[in-house]
Amino acid sequence: MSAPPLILMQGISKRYGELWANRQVTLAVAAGEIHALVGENGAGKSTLMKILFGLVQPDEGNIHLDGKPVAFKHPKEALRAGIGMVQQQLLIFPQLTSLENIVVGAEVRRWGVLNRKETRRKVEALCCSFGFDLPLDVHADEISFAHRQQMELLRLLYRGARILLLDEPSSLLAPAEIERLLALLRAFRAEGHTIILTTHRLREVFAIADRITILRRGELAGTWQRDQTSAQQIASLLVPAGDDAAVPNGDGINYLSPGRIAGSLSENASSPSSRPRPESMKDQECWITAPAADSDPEFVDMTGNGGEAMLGQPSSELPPEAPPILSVETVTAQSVHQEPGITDFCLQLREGEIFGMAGVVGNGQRVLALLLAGMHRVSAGTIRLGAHDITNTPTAARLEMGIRWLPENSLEEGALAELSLWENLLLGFQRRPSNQTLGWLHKKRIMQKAESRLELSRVAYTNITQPLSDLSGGNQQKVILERALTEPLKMVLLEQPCRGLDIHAQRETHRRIRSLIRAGVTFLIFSYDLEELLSLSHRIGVMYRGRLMGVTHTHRAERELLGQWMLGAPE
Amino acid sequence: MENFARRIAVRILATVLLIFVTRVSALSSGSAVAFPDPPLEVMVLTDVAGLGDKGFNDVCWQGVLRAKQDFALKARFVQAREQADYLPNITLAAQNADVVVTLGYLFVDALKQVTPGFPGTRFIHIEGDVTGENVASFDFKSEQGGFLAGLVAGLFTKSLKVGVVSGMDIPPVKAYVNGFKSGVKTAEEKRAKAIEVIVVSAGSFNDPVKGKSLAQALIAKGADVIFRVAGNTGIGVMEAIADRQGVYLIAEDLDMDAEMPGKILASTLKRMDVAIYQAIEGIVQGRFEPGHHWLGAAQGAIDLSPMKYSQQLFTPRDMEWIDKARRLLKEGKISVPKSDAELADFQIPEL
Amino acid sequence: MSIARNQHPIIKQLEPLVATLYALMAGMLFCIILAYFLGTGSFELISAIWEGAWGSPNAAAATLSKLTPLLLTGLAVSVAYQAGLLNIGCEGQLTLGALSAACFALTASQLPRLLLMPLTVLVGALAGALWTLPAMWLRQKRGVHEVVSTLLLNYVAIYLADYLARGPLGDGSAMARTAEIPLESTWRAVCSVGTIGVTAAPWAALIAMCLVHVWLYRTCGGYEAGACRSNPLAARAAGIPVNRRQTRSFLLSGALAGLAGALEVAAVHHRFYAAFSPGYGFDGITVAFLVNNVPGWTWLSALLIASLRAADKWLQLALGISPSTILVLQALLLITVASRVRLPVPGRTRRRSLLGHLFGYPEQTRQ
Repeated sequence: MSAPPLILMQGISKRYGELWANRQVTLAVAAGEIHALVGENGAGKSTLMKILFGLVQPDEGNIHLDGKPVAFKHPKEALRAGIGMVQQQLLIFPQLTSLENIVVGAEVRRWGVLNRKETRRKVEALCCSFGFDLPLDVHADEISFAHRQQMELLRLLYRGARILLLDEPSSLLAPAEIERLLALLRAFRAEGHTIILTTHRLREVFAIADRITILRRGELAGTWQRDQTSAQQIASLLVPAGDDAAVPNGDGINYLSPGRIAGSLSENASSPSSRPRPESMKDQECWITAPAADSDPEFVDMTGNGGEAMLGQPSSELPPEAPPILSVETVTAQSVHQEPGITDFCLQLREGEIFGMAGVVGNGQRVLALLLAGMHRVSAGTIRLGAHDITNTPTAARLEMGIRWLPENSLEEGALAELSLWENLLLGFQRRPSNQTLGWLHKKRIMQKAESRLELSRVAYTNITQPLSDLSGGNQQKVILERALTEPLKMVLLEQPCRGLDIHAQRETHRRIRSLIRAGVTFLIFSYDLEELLSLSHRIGVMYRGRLMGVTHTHRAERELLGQWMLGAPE
Repeated sequence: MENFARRIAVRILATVLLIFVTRVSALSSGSAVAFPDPPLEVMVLTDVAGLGDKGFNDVCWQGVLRAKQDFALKARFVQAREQADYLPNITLAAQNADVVVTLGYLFVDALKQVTPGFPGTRFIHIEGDVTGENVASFDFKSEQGGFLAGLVAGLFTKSLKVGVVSGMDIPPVKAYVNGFKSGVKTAEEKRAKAIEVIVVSAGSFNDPVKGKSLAQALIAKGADVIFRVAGNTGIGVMEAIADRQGVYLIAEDLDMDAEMPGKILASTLKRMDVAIYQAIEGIVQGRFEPGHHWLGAAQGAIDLSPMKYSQQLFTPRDMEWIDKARRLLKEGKISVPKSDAELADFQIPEL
Repeated sequence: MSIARNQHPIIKQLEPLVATLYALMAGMLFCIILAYFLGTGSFELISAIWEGAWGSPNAAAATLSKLTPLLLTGLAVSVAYQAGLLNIGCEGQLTLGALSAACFALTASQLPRLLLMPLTVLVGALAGALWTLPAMWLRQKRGVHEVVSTLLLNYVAIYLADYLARGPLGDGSAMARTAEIPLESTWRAVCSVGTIGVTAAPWAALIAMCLVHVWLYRTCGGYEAGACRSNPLAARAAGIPVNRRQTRSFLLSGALAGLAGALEVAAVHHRFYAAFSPGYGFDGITVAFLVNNVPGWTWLSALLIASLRAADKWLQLALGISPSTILVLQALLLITVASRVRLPVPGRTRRRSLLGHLFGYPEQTRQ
């Protein structure tokens, strides 16, 4: 490139604990171009954008804007320099109209009084010139997501932003809305604005981007002109193929093995209120953290064996005689809280099996987990555990049958923070005859049992009556896990077991899962990380819009096919 | 660590303070709580309204103060905080005083329980019927005051509409209102004109805001004299009248003429102070009269204020009639209706 | 740091006591400042408070009788709190409990004493419990925070009772009150302290306190209620019917408040007066929060508040201090308590003061 870049980010590094969100990343963006940042979940795209916008401070590296060094301590400063960002979680004031939402904080005033006329004129002019179709006088909580997004864009334009950062702008949009968005982006470009966007949809990237930068596990994989590359090449660059190579050894080697479509291309379509992304996570947020930073480095192996199995080797095939344990027969269920429901879902798991459920987040996985845990109602169909029909069995009874659910944020959704350790271990099992007689808790017995269990799992604690919140994050996780593994244990529903984990913790987690299946426990693992599922499970299924697109044995799995399933249709 | 240190510091500080306080106060304290030994100890118990209500309790307290001066008594008062306080307060007073004065209807239940236990203590009770060897209880013929107020209002009104703001629809207030109506009737006959009486009730003795809005409503309806029988609610009535030309007030129980000179035509007087003074006098002089007493104009317990600021608003003939009515009441020659039934049979007196 | 963190459990258990002692000390401090301004000795002031509350048998009896409603309403608030709910509606529950008890005693007066006496208070408790149901329904079906609904239901209850006592259920007298309840339904003095008889009501309240404490900390039901408070999501995932458990705790809370009202009628007034409560329901909040909502310690805070309240007549008599001054003192003390007692918010490290907790926006529960 002959002209100096408008934005130059050099050697940007950002670390969260053990996790490198960005590592020596360099990004150059020319004025008036649309630059796509592509990478799998957790590759560091959002972090990079946040650093540019002043939301996150880099540990290392420098930023040049128009050739001048800048360091934004706050988004306000970035805005003043003409940089605006639309985050995945849109910021709206539901009770204000879209017009008010756009101008709030930067109203046109005349002698301190809001000049509505002038304000409206300015906003309407903006709408006109770019082709926005946003209704200005409707309350913000009544307009569609696409319109809210337009509102955010207008808010930035209104404040004079000429560099727009868009984080996954298309993830929640319908196809027609995406087309409109792309048209808007082209209009911006025509007006001389510069756009950086992250996306996981290669189609869009090739439809609009001038240049493409690929990030992989926090590191730069390269930048290409759109017309000098192909979807095929980008896809192969995105995810390091081959499981052995997936163990990063810290020196940042490139793993190029083209020819495989990365399933994680279609990683994410989560709702705006959904889980924090890995970049912003602390490492303790995942359950089964074995060696979290502050916990015991030696993880206890439940069965005492295992551990030889290396990460990256798919689990050996199940013995054919393994009896079926769980069967979901044409089950339909309503959606809950923005999580789509499932329709005519069929699934059969066998004893001691690890079943990996892949798919873009928000395609009904949560509803399936809730259904199996007994926390959601089945509209039609049957669920069986062994010989029992458990379609309408309440949660408590399922716990006794051995079904355990470990949600993604196990601490948030499973811990009784200010209650004592023994109370945390008891939760869900308080009605067992061994724990109570006519409602009277056998406190002494329960506490003794709890003590011995915590000793065994090497939880660092001083007193069984101390509140859970006194423990370190890692130890809290261990307690929650210990509770989930209370006998009898038949089936574990696991959500995103390794999200945000460093490689050692991942390995420990996998080892533990493998050791448990030898004891006959069945696992249903929900994960957006296809690589993890490929390395861990016996079979893999893909969910799309509440349906099971297909199931395949791991050793026969073709990534291309899985990737297509994730996107909804075999092309 | 900081946090821990701060906690320790706070604890030490608190302890030191405590020690300091006890030491200092031990030095400063001469004698603890103790009562002197006066010849006669009078203790007044008020309901939750307490002294300073510019009404019932204050009038009673004036009687006690007068007796205190005249007979060299020791007098104190205790204000109750809640219904449940009455019993312990009476007991406490009975233990510590020779004469216990209880003010108000609410004391009746508790008083009945306590008095038999203290035969040596004299009890004076205002409002309500409590009998006993050592209890003298007093009620007042409010209707007589109402009659005088009605007469004054009826003689004065230009719009031929008068209003009453009542606190609650309870018997003592009812007596006031019926007396008032009979007074207005008397005035009607004297003036040979029909006069309308509009009665509104606030439903509370303690709601000045309501009182004000009710009074304003009455004024809007054309009433130019308003009689308040509403306790603290009446404060609102006064506020409503203060800034209205040509609208006048008649106050109850206490001489309030001076509070808004010229705006208050008259105040009916309920001389609870007289009753209490006389009862204490009786005790001092050794002729205590137990039992329940109805006091009226004849005993000097019901009267009308001297109308110092409003006399010039009336014709001399009006004033003559008012004075004559007072005199006849004192002589017991007018029987004023108390209940609705009596009001229907009311014989208009010759003035 | 680690010392503060890993306190011995006994110390943790004693925290409510410590909180009360702090409040007591703060109260004394305020007394001294007040005494300075009033021109009396600080020692006189403090000793007059003691004298007024416990100095004579009669004073002790009066204090004990004030203890009953305070203890029960405090208990009501803490029971609800221990299930993750704030019951600001004790005043209304107490009023209706008292009214229903009086009405029941009047209508069922021909029942034998053995039946009438316990039934009277039970009916009061039942009425109090039922009065929590609208709030619970609003919370669970309509998403109305229970602080708002219970607070507003207070006024409904108080004015309803006022109307009923003045009209349909009144005794026809000048006052808003019912007729005197039959002697068979009243609680008679079990012992005489001084010249005032003390009924079994305070002891009944203490027994209720012990039962609630044991229920909360030793039984499955109490444990489940605690889980609902600590983390409703986790409780649901563990198969605990959160809504039903919370409703149960709230019913119990309302029943305790109703019991407080019924006992006032049966043991103190022997009839229902519309304005008999000086705000016991609201004092209950203070009582509960003063000891961190631990039911087993409510006796302590209830005793403190009852003593202060009972002492005010003696302060008037002995020191000639006007009752308003005592109100100031109490209010200052309550503010001290409110700012001192801090509540751990489940699942967060952030902490809120009592006032923040009462008026802060309710926490959103996801899923």
